[in-house]
Amino acid sequence: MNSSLGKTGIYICHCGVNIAGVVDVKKLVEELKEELGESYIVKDYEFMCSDPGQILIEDDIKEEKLDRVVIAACSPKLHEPTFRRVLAKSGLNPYLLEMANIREHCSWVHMKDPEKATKKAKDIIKMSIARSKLLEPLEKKKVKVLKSALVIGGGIAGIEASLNLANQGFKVYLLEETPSIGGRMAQWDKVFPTGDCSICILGPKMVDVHYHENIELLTYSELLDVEGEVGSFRCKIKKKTRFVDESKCTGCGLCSDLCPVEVPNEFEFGLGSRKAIYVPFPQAVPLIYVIDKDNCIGCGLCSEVCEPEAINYESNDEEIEIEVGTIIVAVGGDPFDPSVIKEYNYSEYPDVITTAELERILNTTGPTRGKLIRPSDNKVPKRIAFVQCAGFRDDRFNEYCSRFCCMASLKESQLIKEKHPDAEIFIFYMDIRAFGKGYEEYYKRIQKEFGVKFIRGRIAEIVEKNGVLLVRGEDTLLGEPIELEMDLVVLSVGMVPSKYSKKVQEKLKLCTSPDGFLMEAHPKLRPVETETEGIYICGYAQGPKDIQDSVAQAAASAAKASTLMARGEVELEALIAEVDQDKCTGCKLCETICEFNAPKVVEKKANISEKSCVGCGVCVGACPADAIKIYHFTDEQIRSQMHAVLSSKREVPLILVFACNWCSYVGADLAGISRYQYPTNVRIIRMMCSGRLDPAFVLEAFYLGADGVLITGCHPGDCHYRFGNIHAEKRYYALKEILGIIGIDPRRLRLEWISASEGERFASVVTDMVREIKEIGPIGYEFLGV
Amino acid sequence: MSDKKETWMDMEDKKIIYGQKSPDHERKIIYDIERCTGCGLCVKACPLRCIELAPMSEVATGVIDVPPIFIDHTVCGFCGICVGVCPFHSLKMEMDGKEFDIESVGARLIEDVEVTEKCLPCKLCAKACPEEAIDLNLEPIDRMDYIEGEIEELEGEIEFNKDECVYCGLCDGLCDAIEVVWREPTPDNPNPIDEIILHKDKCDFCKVCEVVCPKGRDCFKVDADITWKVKDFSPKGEIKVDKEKCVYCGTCEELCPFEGIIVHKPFEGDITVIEEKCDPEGCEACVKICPGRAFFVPKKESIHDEVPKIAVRKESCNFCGACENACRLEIVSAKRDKMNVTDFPNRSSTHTWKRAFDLLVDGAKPFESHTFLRPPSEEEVEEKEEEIEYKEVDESILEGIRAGIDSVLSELDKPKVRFQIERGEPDKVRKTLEKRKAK
Repeated sequence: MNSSLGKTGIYICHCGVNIAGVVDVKKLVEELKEELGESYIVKDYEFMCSDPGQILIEDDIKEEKLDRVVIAACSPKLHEPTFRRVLAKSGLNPYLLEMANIREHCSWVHMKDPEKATKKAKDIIKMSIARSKLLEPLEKKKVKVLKSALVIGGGIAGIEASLNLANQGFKVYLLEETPSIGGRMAQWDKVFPTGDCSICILGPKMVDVHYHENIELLTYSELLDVEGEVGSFRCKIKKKTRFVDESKCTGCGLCSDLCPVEVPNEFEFGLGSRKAIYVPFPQAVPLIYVIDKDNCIGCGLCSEVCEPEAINYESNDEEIEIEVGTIIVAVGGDPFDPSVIKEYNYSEYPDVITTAELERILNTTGPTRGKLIRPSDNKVPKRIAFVQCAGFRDDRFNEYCSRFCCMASLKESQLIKEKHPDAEIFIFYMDIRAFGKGYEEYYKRIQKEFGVKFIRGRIAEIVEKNGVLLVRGEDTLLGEPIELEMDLVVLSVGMVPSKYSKKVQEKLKLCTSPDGFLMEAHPKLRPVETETEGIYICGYAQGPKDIQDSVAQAAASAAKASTLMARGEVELEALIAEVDQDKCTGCKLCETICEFNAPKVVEKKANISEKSCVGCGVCVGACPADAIKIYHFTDEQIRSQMHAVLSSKREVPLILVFACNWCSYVGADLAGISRYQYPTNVRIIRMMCSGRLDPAFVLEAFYLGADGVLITGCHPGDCHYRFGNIHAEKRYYALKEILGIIGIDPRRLRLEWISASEGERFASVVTDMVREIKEIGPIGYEFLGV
Repeated sequence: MSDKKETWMDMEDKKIIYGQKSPDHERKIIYDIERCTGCGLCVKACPLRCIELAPMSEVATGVIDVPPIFIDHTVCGFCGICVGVCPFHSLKMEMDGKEFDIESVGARLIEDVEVTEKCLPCKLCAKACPEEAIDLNLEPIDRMDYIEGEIEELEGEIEFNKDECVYCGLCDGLCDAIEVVWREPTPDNPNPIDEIILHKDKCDFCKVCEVVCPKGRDCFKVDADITWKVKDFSPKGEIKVDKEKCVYCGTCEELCPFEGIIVHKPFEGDITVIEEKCDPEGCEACVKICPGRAFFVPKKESIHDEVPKIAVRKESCNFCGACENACRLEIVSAKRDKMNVTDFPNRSSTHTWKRAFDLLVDGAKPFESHTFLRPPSEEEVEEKEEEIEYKEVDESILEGIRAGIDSVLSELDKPKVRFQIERGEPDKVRKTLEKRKAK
């Protein structure tokens, strides 16, 4: 083990009042200084992420010869890449950084209990210190960048294309007109047919884009002009001013709280509101606030609460010029506005909504926080109609089929049925087009399992009578007219080419087909190329398609672009698993359970292929001989965190939470961002996947005195490593039995699926578990007979 | 709502103070009820739609006595747009006790009164001003000061040419022969002088009137062989306009015979009334509300006269629109075509400020109020954490637990158990472990 020998630098960030307003930072510094001794440096600073904050660390690394750096600040999801760069710049391996999340996981969720929050922050920092000692320098296999690309549009297609190119080593400029990337997919609640939480699978990609060293994110920016040709397009870009200094904004949101201007939020299709200084949604990337100059009244309140003084009301738009070798256009689509379909009275009746709006209503971060209510009276609708092909396959509006709306309605029906099994759902359709992989099966499941009623026929009109919506049409299978009363009518709308499409098309001189979509060079054989060499198209901008097709096409366009650009070096993930040949007993369990065929057992010894390993750690958690090590999340590192907090238990009850990097940890972050308060009794340990959890960790936690253990992971089907969470679940059931045998109350162990959008759920799960463990008492109470 | 700011409302004299305390500043909007005409320009311009206009026809006719506007201070952003658009200075803004410089963040209407070099001065404007905003400081004229020598009795002629008279009133009180008959200006006739009467029998032909009158001999013509000399005359004194009181109606400019006072109105436009639709009884709300006294009910000279039921003089109108709000029949229309406004600084809020001002003159998109979908309200239960006192858990118990865990942990090293776990066979795991435990 390559543990620390030199000095460790510990830096505690105030984050203005975001941390220091709750956690007594000065006291922490004093206590830590006293307890830790000579080989540690403990410092605090107002904003560690600011330039002076970074320089402070750089100087210490050089002058004090630090070999480990612990930064107690915000979530590593936000600034780990920033501080890793600081380490790298100062000649220290970036993987020797450890972040203690005392903002999202502490100060923001315990605002009413500063004393306990301070205690908890100290625990979190001590856990990080312990872990930092065991961190090892890791090397990413570097690639060289030779040429660059401009990707226009920051939706899933643009993100995917950007990541594809960037991961190949190309410099990518990702241009997005709105303040955040994410596009339409960020607005949807779940995706079909898997039911994955949309932002949970998209969010990590957005973050990847943000921190990818090869991607320069140009959000809130506009393409002004393009000159040149393939290999060297000179692009003029206007960076619209946010009136908020991107380098100073910490994303704390105090400004938004105080802003007196409340206007419809475009992201919520106007159903919900936002302020004049805002981020469109909590998971926005970059998490930098923007003043909407169409609505700012200039009252000056936001700058009064902005601790880092990031707001400048007088800043101006900026014009930049970049040069790129290739361009990918991924400007996407906009949901169709059905108010032009007079007979549906969409603008007339508040309870006639669109599928796009319903997505926001069903989303836990949406205007109703995921509670299904209808706009007119905030009541839960019992009878719900979906009207398919609203404005599509209709000569009057759009002739084409939008391809995803049938599936979207099926999915939304399922989501409603899961929450309200007694709801009656009717889908009025012409044909159900469930043509994709697994779609037809999904359609059948919706019919059988959820009892959604399908009525064939186009709806002729929607009228209101005595406060009740009447849906009229013809059941073409029975050949009879129908008239049904409904509480809520959802118009299943497709998408039309985005409003940005025409502008970009004109600037790049691309062709469009009669329906307004960008034209490919050949519909069969050159689907992502345009007539202009070096410019490619993908996603909804090219034509109607669902997410999976958009992603596939994005990858195709990136592949096409990269073949034009000179090949560079590619970067490989550093966090992979490795087998200790001496310990391996050749039991083949790893080979059996790996989804990626990375481990191979040859002559009774396992070997893991570097190329195939995705770094989930499922094999590591399963290995009976503890022979497999996963870099950056080793057994020793995780154990050190448990020991650090449990060796001197400072709160009773104390619950350890194991959280996966992709969903649950982010869910916990979102609880912080949304300020959902929960009890201080939990300590969170991050792992790449819940499948990394070694059952021994849980037993060891109780051995050391934990009063409860909470395992959290992505919802089944959402796992970033396919089935890692399912392995966690299996271990959980076995552990329940094991605890029973030992005599420990099995209720002390819980498993909960918490997605990246379920901040509120994280808080409520923790609150409930703390309540239950309080009833059971501290560990050992079950033996007292009380 | 954020707990970082606090707002309130206070009453002081005839003023309502709306206040806001934020982390760094204390802002106040001071509303002078008496100066407010209820024109409602602030109501139109407020981007947060937090200003409400009282029923102005009732207020104008005195049926109810309430301030013309009411600001919801809990919604107000204290941005100052209302202050910038108020043509009557009835709204003022203070920050930390000092007058707030609206132009540093936005703009204000430009309105001004200019006393030019051509002003004599005379008494006309001050007497005609509907708001008593003009302060006249004119030295009284003693005609003896302008006579060199002694007045002797002699024969002569005096003529007063009414057609040439500008009715400036300077000759008022000059001598017993000239009588200026003052009147209270009325909306239909803002002129403060009714007539000037020359009593020839009282004239001593001193000829001072010829020099005092700005029209000289064209107006007063005295023919006599005088034995004394008459000195040159120029009126001494000045007029001052209180710009806080002024309503920029333009009456003074209209009346001044010498272009001696020029009013820069905040707006250019037109004022019309569909007089035939006016209530014959005449509520006179427009007459009462207009700060410039532009409206009047024409009087019949005889019962046979046909006169309109209501009339308005554009010259005395600043196009504020208070009349429009006050008219319950909606037959008055104040049209604003152009406005005079200071330059907008380039700031994040410029767009909103421009839009707010544009709303005063043409059909810019009005600020809308919105309703939003919100989560169904859940009773927020403030749970006070109760500290539970737990009994000490005996170290021997914990030892026992540790021993139990130790024995199981060693079982986890066995591939058999781990295969059972990964296959999802908790029952088998339990059985295997129980067997071992039994041993």
